[in-house]
Amino acid sequence: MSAESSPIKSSRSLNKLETVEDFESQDTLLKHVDITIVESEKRANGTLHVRDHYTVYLIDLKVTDPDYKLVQSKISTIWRRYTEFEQIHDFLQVTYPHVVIPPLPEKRVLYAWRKSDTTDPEFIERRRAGLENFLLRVASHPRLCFDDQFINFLQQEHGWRETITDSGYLLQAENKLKSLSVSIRLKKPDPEIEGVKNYGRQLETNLGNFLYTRSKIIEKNYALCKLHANYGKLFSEWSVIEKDMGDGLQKAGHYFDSIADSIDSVAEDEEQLADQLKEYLFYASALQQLCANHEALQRALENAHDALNNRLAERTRAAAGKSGLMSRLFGTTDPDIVRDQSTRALDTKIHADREAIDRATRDLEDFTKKATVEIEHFQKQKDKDLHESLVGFITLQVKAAKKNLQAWTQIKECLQNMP
Amino acid sequence: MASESSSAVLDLNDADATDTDAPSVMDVDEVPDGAPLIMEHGYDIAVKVDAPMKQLSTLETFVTYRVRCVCARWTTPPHVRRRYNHFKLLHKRLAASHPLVAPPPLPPLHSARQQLDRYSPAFVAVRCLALHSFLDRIAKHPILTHSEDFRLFLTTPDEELDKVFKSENSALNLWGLSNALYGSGEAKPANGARVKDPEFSSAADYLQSLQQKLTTLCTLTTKLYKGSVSLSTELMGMRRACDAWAVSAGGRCAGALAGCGAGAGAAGAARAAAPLRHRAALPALAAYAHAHVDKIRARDALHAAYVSGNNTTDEVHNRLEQASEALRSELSDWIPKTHAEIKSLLLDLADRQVNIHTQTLMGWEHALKLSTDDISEMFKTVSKTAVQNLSPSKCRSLTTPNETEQDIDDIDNYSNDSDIQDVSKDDIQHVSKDDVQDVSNVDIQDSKDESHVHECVKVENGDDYGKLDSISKEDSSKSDSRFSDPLQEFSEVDLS
Repeated sequence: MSAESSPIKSSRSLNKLETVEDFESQDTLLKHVDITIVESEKRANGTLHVRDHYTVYLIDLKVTDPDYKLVQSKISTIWRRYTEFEQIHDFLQVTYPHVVIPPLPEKRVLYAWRKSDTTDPEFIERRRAGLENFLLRVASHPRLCFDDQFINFLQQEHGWRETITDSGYLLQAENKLKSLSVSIRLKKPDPEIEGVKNYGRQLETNLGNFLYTRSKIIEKNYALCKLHANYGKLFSEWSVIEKDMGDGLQKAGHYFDSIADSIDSVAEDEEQLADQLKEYLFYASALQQLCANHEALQRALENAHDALNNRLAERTRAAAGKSGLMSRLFGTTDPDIVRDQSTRALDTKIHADREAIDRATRDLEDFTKKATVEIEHFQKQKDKDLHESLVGFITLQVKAAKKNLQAWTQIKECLQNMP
Repeated sequence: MASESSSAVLDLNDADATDTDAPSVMDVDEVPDGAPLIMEHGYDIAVKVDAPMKQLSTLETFVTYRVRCVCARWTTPPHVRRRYNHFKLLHKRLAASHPLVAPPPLPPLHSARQQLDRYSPAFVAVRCLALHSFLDRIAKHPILTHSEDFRLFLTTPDEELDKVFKSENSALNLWGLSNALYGSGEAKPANGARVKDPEFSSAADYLQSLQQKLTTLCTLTTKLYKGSVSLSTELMGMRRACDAWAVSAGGRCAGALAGCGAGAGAAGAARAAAPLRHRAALPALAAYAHAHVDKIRARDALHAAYVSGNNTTDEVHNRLEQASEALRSELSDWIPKTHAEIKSLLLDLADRQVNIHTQTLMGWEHALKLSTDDISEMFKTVSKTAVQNLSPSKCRSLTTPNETEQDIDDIDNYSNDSDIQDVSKDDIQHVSKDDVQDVSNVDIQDSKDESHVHECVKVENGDDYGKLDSISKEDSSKSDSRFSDPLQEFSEVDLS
């Protein structure tokens, strides 16, 4: 479309962005710094209660661009816990309603196939990776990455919690929740947005199904592979009492043990891929959130139109002299003075209503323009990422099948070589 | 029924009967003749038990099994029908007439629970296999094969069976016979010195351990197959999830999902059935080992009786020598045979697992191809005008010129075709089966052709998208058709 925007642009001034290419060629924080979450640590609130233990993560910020002035120091590290991540995430959601906000990793363990909870060291490691990914996503988004609160999150050692609460985002978030809980039924829903919303819902369902079946499969497969350890034990015990068959049985036994051991690394790798898919599960709901925001603005516009129409009707009635109390009760016509007064009062209100409509229309247009680019960027990214994850999944299955095939071929050979 | 005809054609492969394919108990009129029995090398007799059938008489319903035999020593009717009780009687008589030799064990009676499911195809199939192995062992046994009872069992026509087989050896007689041979020594095992003959005690120890190992092996293998079947169900679930998702997914994801679904489907199909042979054979061998242990114990009792000096007659000594000699020859015959059978059972297991994993591997490799080669799909939809749109259906086409250039770079990065080629060549060399080789050659052929296609595409892309359009359309349709071939071919190949 039109490429009025200059390619090099400070992301602070968000002007007419209309192409995805412009969007993507913008400056982002990530082009100047490196962000990693290096490690995690267990902390306690003073009491020894298990409940009061929580985990903090060390965010490491390294400035790679020597001229970059925005960040205070060259290297900075800061400890943050999950609830603080939640705070910055919620803040961004409220402040940038037209952006598909990158999601946080899961709060509770979803699609678990073995007993684990949020204090599991394995879970903590996966969460560390997920939080790092969240930071990278935000830092590579041209509109989100230079947000003051976000920069503070990365750097402000003390008092960040107060700073962010002061911004009043909580109140906004509550208001939003209230308005969303009322089911929005628009008179003329935007077909594009409707399409995107439905797509988001479908994606969520499909991803959910996929993750569920995957967890069932790895659960059964894991148990099955561990069963092979029993074979290994049986064969090695058996080889002791046999003379001719002993050698073959013992060798075969080793391969059985290798099968039992191999599943652990496969399970770990698969869990990482599942985490990537989970990110898009949450992304899908962020997408739906964006649509809901759009709908809220649309509804505001529709309400404004309704208000105007009501006012106009009222004015007509007032002009006809039907709006006074007496006329309403007894059906008589209002005296002229009353008529003039009320008509004039309504005229001013009508004027205010029209202005409100204009504002609402502008807001909606503005939102739609920005959201369009965001959504398209998201779709591209999602296609690429999901494709990569799925190919990764398939590759992992190929690897696992190869390992199993190799082991069993060897077992067969050992058995064949028995006298 | 299909399963019956397949068992008729592959006469000795009833062992491959699976839970789903188990020949169900049929009605009287349906049985075909079956392939001719062939005697194995070194034996002059061959027997076969198959074709279970439900028969209704006035008082009860029961299952009969068709017993066939070819023998050089006597003429046999083409087939006879026997029920479990007949086998039981044969077993009893063999035990009575050859007290020093343990007859092969019978499959167990119904447990109380199984009474509720007496005619379930799996149960009947397992029992059929076990009865076959029972008769087979007798036929190949150097002593028992010449037993008169055995001959009667095989040759008496069905109608006359009751007369011949029932009344002669009454229960009382049997008991008296075995008692006479072993005396009452069994009641008092070790009066005084406990005799430990090293030759037989080590044999007894071995047999007991073997029995235990075989039982464990049976349990493990049953669990393994059951687990595989349940894993297969879950894999089919993933296939359905992927297929449902692919409907609404866009662009490359649809291809990746199609691949994923296909891979899961193949893996699931490979594991779907659970073979039964081990469920008959392993417990039978374990019971057989146990029977031998009993005989050894009996011999030991004799020995103890002899040593304790109460009946210091030649008679006891003779009986002891007889028993020892019988056991020695029996074990020297039985152990190699049993080892061979164990080896064959284990190889069955290994074969099946190798098949499962081969098919799984092929399924997932095919999936990889499907998911990375659909790049050709994208070239199909290249257009000169940039199209920017919100709705997902249009996003699917990913049609801006800039994008395709990017994606062409992606192809270079992927360089998947050559990778896949190498990978599949390596793997398939690994698997030594010949039939698999044929399929793999076709696969390699395809991937070679595809990489050629992509070469052409790469060369031409810079110039003219229109040209690209037509070439890629042609090629993608070619590759599509070639895609269907390997799958067809490999499903035709019977990897059993």
